[in-house]
Amino acid sequence: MTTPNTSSETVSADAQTAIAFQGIRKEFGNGANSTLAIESVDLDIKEREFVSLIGPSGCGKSTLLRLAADLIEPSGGSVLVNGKTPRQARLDRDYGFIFQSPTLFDWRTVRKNIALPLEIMKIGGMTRADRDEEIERLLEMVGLDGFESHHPYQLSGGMQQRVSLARALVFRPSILLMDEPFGALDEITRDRMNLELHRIWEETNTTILFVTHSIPEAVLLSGRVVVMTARPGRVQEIIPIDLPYPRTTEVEESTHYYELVTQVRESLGQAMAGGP
Amino acid sequence: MSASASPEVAPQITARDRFLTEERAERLRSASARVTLILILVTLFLGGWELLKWATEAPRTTLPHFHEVVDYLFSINSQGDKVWLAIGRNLRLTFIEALSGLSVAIVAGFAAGTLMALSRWTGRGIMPFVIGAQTVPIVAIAPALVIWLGTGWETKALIAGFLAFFPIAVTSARGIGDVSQDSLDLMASYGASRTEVFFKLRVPSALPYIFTGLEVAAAFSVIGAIVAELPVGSQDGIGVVILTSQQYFSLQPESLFAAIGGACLLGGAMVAMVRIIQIVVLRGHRAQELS
Repeated sequence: MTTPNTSSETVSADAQTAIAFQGIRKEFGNGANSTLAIESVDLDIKEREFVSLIGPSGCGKSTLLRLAADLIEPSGGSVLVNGKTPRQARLDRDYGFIFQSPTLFDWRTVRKNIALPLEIMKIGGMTRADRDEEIERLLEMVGLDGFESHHPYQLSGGMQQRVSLARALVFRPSILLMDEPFGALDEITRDRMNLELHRIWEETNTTILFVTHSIPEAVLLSGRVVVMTARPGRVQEIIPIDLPYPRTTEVEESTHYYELVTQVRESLGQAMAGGP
Repeated sequence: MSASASPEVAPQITARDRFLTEERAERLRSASARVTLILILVTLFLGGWELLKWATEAPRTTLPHFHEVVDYLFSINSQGDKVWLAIGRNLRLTFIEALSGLSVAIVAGFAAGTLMALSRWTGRGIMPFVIGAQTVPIVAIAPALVIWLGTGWETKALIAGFLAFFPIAVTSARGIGDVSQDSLDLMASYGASRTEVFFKLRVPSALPYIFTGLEVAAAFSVIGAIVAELPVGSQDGIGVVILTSQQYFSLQPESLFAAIGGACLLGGAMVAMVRIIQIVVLRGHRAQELS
């Protein structure tokens, strides 16, 4: 394991669980105007797992992700991230968050965008040379070497999202929270990014919780697909994806892949119809 | 910088170099287009001037020839000074007044704008004063300020700053407040402090806004300084030159046009100065690329 994950090892009972949602309820607004976004969600994500959340719009997929990231707080139930409260996990920099929009800073070059988390975190024992080497390694990993001096607006949407991915990986978090990261990309770029993300996931030993609208994407990438119902969001079904690794274009062409896509689609259809 | 020289990297570098060369060529094209445009505008201005004079048959005491104004600039005035040097000396004083006022306005305007954007209650308290400051007729209040504070350059700087304050405060407030929720969430996910969010996110993303306000403020500061020089009692400054030229207009009409030209030049120089600083500071900002 290359991931510095000492904190979770001390909590032996939860050592294998990266993210645990227990009886989560989330209401937005208050009084008569409140909306119940999520109700009684229980979900455990194991270390090194790749789990996708899929469901109709407004089912609270992104809300779950934001709860794990401590960007919002639950109205009921509890979340544990690496056995800690989300707040502690956030302050310990246990996760990297990737948004649908790349959220890059225009005034910074690619290199400086990737360096941003390191500047803020002031990670001890890291010299300037270490930092540069780390950024170099990531640029290569996401296929952007040669573009370190460009500004975000000089890059295509796909390349911008690669920078965003490199920026999330630079401080070696054990968990990646991804909120429809490729949702704004065209089909071809999206396919390529998916396969590369899968390769990076295998290389970096991270746990990934991935929100998506795309059924084929969810099936291709995940170990498990969590299908959610319409508002209020509940877990409709958890579908294990027993496709072989590494996930490549050949896997995408296998009949079993299509069977699984159909299974997820049917489950999603039931979820939209109001559950079983 | 990278030591790697693998064959896979090489084509990417050439692609990038080509990209940069194209960018440079594009910049050169737009620069030469700008110079041509300026030349055309100057020609149209001079042509319009002389055409107006010819069409209305205006005598010298109404509208002199442009070359008469130029001749006047190189003549000697009653004090035995070269006219253009004397105007230059007065411009320098007005410049110092305007620049001092602008500097104060930048600090005060940025501070007020930041408060308006970030602090709900203090911001709401300040807002009426900022808007009120803008509605005060500066021409009316300038004489009162001169009476209270004297005819020194500091009074004029204060009035210049007063006028320049508003555009800086408003654009700062807009820029500091205008950051996406995703960017804020991103910073929060790194456990960034408020100070870090301010200096690494809010200030850099506000800079293009602030510079837009700064350009307006630079022109306003010159106007403020000139207006402040008009009340009786001031000895020097381009505002005083304009006032005296106006009194002697029937004898020496060229002097008023020379003074006005000088004032315009000062305003233009001030704005150009801001532009140059903007180009240096905003290197790499998208707004810079688009303007």
